Amino acid sequence: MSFLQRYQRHFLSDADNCQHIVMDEQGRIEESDDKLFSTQSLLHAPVTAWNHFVESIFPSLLQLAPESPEVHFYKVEPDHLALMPGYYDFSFRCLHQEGAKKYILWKILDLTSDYVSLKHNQQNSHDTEISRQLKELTQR
Amino acid sequence: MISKKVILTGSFGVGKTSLFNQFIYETFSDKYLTTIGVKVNKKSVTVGTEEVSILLWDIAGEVSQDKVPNSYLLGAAAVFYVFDLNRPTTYKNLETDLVHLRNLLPHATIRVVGNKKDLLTDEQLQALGSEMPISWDVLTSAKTGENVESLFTQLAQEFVAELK
Repeated sequence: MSFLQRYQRHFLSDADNCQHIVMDEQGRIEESDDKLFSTQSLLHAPVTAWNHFVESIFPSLLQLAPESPEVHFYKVEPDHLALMPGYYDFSFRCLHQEGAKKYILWKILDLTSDYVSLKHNQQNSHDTEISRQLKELTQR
Repeated sequence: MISKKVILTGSFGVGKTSLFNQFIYETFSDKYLTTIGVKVNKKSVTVGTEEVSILLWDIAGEVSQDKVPNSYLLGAAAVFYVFDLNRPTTYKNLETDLVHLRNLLPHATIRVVGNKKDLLTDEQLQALGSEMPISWDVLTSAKTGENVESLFTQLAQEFVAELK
């Protein structure tokens, strides 16, 4: 993959590995472009009811103001969700506020292939480092 | 129902994912599998008549806590700082790491957890206790499950007590 393609995958929001979901202040899906997964069967319940990641930070997301910077979470592995197998970057921002109503934009970037390779490299380096540390201890 | 975000953090290879799996799924594997970012799952703990939902974050191990993205700490009610009782490098930054966490989360409960207790004798643990810069709060074994459930139950009890 070229540097330009990598840049596009990571930073351009219309890339095919990116989904946008707009949630209302109850966590219900208002809109979704469904590029990664269909939300049709998820409209009956708030996102917080089926996604523990969003559930855990939702009270904090509701405190974001329209002028607040995006909040980013990298390398999220929603392994409890069959509809999202893999590794993702999530970002959230307060899209706009209409009177008392607030809307949160959730950007989902599927970076599974990049992160699987990163995980492999990290596994090797950690295995090596842990072995070195334990060997050093036994030689004392 | 009370819902609280709780974080497992610390250096790599200390057993955070094993504690996560032991608490959530009641399973254990001897094979070390690295975590590259964050995994989240939840489990309910009953305290008297109250249900406490623990939203547990298992985050990638870092040698120093200032390398953990601040966003990961957003809204956390408690942090378990886990270290490996067998590897001194995993607690060498304990003091500075705790200062860092307390600065970012002044209202959160922070517990120091020494894991892999099953690999040390009582004499070794006693000797280690006198060497540590800061004493631990709890000793656990994700392998045998010792003190894992109680670690979370005790925390849940504190969450309930805060409400009263």
